[in-house]
Amino acid sequence: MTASAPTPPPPAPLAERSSLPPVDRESLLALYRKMVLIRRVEELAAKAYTQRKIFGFCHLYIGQESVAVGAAAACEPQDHWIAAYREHGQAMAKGVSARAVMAELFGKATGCTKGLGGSMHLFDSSVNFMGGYGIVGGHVPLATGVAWAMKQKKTNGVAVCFFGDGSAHQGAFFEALCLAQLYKLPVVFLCENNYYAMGTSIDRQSALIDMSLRGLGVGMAREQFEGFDVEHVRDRVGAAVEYARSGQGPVILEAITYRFRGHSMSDPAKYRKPGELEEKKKSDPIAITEHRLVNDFGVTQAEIDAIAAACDAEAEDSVKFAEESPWPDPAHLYDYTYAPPSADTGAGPTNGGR
Amino acid sequence: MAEFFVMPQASPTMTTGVIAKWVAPEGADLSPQSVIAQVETDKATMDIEVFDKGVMLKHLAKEGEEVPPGAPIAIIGKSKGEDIAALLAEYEKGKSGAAAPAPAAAPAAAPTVGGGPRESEQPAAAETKLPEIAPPQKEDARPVTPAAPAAPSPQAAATKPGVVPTLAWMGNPIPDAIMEPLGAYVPAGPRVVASPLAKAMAADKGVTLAKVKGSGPGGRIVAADIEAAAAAPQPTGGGVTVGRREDVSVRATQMRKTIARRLTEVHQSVPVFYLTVTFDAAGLVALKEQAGKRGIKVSYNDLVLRAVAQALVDVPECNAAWQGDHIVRRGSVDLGVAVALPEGLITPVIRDADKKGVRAIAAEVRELAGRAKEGKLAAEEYTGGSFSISNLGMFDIDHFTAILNPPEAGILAVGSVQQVPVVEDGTLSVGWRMKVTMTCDHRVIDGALGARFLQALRGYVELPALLVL
Amino acid sequence: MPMLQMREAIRRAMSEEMRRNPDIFLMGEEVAYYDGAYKVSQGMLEEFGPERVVDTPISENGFAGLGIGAAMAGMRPIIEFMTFNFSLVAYDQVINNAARIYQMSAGQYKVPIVFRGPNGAAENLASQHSTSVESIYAHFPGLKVVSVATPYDACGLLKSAIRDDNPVIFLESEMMYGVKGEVPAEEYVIPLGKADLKRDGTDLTFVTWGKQVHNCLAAATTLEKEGISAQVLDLRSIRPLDHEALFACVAKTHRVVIVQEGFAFAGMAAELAARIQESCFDLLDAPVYRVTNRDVPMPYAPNLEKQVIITPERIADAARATVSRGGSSGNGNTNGGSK
Repeated sequence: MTASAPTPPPPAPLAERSSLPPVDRESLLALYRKMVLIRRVEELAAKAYTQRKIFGFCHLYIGQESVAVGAAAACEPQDHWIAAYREHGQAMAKGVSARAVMAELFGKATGCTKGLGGSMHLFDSSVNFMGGYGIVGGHVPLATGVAWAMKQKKTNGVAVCFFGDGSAHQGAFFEALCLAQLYKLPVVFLCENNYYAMGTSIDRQSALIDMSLRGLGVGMAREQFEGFDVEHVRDRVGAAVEYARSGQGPVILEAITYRFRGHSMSDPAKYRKPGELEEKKKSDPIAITEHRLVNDFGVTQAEIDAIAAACDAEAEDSVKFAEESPWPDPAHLYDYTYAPPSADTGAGPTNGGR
Repeated sequence: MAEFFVMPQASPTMTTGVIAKWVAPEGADLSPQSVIAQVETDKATMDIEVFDKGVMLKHLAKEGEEVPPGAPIAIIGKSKGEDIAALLAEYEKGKSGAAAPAPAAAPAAAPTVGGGPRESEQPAAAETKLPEIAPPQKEDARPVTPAAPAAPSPQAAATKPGVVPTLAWMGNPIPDAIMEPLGAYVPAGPRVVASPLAKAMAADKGVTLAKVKGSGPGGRIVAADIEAAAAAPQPTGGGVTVGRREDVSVRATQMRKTIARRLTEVHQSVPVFYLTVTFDAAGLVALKEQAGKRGIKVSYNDLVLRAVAQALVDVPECNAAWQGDHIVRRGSVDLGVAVALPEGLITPVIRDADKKGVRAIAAEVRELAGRAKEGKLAAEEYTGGSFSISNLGMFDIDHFTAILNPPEAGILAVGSVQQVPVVEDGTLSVGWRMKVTMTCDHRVIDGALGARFLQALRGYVELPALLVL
Repeated sequence: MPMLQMREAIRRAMSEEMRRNPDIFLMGEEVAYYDGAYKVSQGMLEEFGPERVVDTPISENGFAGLGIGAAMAGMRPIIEFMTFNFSLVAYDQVINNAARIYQMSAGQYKVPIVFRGPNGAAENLASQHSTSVESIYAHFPGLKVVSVATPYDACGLLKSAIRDDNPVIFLESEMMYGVKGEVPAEEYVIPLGKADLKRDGTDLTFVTWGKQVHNCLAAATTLEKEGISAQVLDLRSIRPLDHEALFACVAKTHRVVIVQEGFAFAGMAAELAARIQESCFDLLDAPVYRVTNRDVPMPYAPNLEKQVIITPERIADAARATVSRGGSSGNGNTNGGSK
């Protein structure tokens, strides 16, 4: 667990191809369906926000769906995910239901954190989704710790940490990389470079465009890749997860992606260059996969339409569910401030007050 | 089905939006995230989107028109050719009437604001957000929240599980989570419950705390209670003050404050009655004169003191004090003598006055009064009396009533010895008379008892020779 | 009963707990090969190996966060800050993550972690190495804060802290690692949230914790010679707070002096005074006085440092004032603390 050599060897490159089997018609359709669902849920979240049914800050994932869905396809159930505040898509990709997400955005008792967390703090321990965090970069060390625990407990799990290009300038991020590499922990740091840290474009906030290069400073395996194609994301994250799972240590990835909407619902994103959004929308992950399904797997327009209708229904159902769900009972306001005494706390001979 | 599309609340401070441009013309197909219009707000020109598939059926607001948030600006349907006549009628009705129709699904304030963890792009939004948004959330959108108190009061907190109810936490383990207000801690044992301000005011105004009923939490005596207690006995004056000299506040000395407090306490708390009698003072006059001729200086007061002492021996029931639930009959006759001082009144005590001769009493009174005027009395020299005498005869006061000197049950107010016309056996003549008034604590002395005492006293005053028997 | 140094008592608590639960590990700067900056963890590397006694780079923000993440995933880390001054670079982790994850995950993830290390001023360490942090950690619901004054308390309370399913800030003192005290040979734990009356008295109560317990005991001895009977309540656990013990002391002596290392302004002593007046208003015979550090960053020069820190003399003086026998009230008017 300690540094063994004064000069670490240069990190090995990731395998050119992950050992995951190639996607087939059904598996790609499933990934496509997941992306369409996430987008439709996000659209309805935006609508609900303008109707004052969702409050506070609301950061949408539209345009980046391929990253979370591709990564999920590369992971095992025992792998733990941890994310920042633009995490609706990651939560759903990892397995949190649209209902639980939407109800949480509405602040209802049926939300995945019972109305306590809201948009920025989605958690679901049943699918090992360890939360969204609102302090930029502050969650990255947590992933290192989760990996530590999984290594100690030999769960054969990998921690995957999603963060944005904005996080890659925080001290906590650097320290997390240092520690993960020092202890050779099974963690994949997955930077989603969506070109903007809040309202500041990547070239205006960083001298370095490829955030995965940050890993070189600590001797960490790294790779940058295009993140618009869910199939490609699945393969590259797959290679990284396999690397980490094999005990070789952590990996830092950068997926190039693009945020189609503003930083939050209040951001009209007027800072984009003219034509930039239209240009990027040509790489819409949903369109790319749709094109591949139709052209390479013989999926019909009727099937595409059916998926759209099903996702629309599921998303609308999530809104209906959220609207009809009860508010959290104020009687339980204090229930989760402190964990109750565990069985262990009371164990052993006691000798209080003296 | 066609429905209104309303002007969104595009910034928290926005009161109206101006349709800068319709991007989606009437008849245009719409899909999620389609921009339908640009709207100028107080902050910027914003793109207005829709999030469902549909068709732009009708622009209700024209370009350049100013519309408040929540008011319809368009009609959007699922397909072309939907009947919108009813919606149009409703819109026209609303426009001509006072209130514009606002669909329930889109409350009047429909913001598209919010932000991210760091909203450097819109600092003003973050600052002004709360007051704008909070009220409608509570009243319209959150039917459950009225049950939740805006700010936890101890009472409200007491209803929450895990929060220690007021007082009830004693003896229970303190829950880990809680550092909420806990309510008053009430230990065993009595304690005067009064605020520090009330205590200071009570001392200042001579109000006895024990007599005041507190109106504060848990019966705490608060400033208002002292004000009320102090104001109660005072008549409210009125009338014109033109031409009068202004009132002057005179600072009260500690002694004056103590007198004020104690006398108020006695006057308010002890049930008293008064017995007035007129004595034939000829014997006193003669004795004083005879003594003076022999160089023995005694006053009427000295003689009355001796007489009272002897009368108390005869009627010991009056040499007593009320002590809450019982009477203490004093074993010795210790007479308090009221002495006037510039700043007030003090009653030095002649111990065992019944065992002392008039000359001894006279000497002791003069000695004590002299030191009292110099402020050199020890506390035990003016406390612990069993009965008191207050004499204003030297000021030619005919008669008066005195206030008890607690816990003594009686005090005798002695008037002047006067030559007055007297009728005896139908004959008018000139005689010496002295009026005394006894103030009796009715808890100890009843009328007949007081009369018996005064009868005994009459014997000694009118025939002072008895004092030597 | 065996006599142990404070550092030995802390080490014993950690070692006993690590033997009974393999999920516990100790992590921090120089805790392993160096044997601990203050030799608290001496010999533990040898017993538990490098996977459970773990040296870190100088990166508090990172390894505090690592500990929290590990705790979420089932471990029970003990994170040593070489001093709590350095915890300030990890403040985001402790506050935004450790204190809040249980609540914002609606109870799905617990954070059973102990952050421990020396707190407060030692001697002549100047401005940046003399911070008292209890007030700034006790502020936050979700954290527990413990401060120990004796080896007995240290061992029993640290074992409870390690077994607790919540993040616990465990405050020690460089000045007290060598303090010796009796510690029973048999295993014991002391529950969090229980204050301890370290000295009985009738005229006033010193409410304090940590190192200042000893200064208060010294002051009480001085006062006894003057006929003033002072009792010393060691809170031990600042959060959760033992309200019952605190209020019972107020009810008994009617006079309270709170002695808190660190600054008065918005500090723990102010919180205690507020709670006392809220619940015990009618039990007080005197204002609640505070004795704290003077309101300046710690100066280096020894004579100046003596002006800033709390001494038994200053404590005794506040006690005299509170029983109206001379003295000056706690920080008095010389503190300038309310600027």
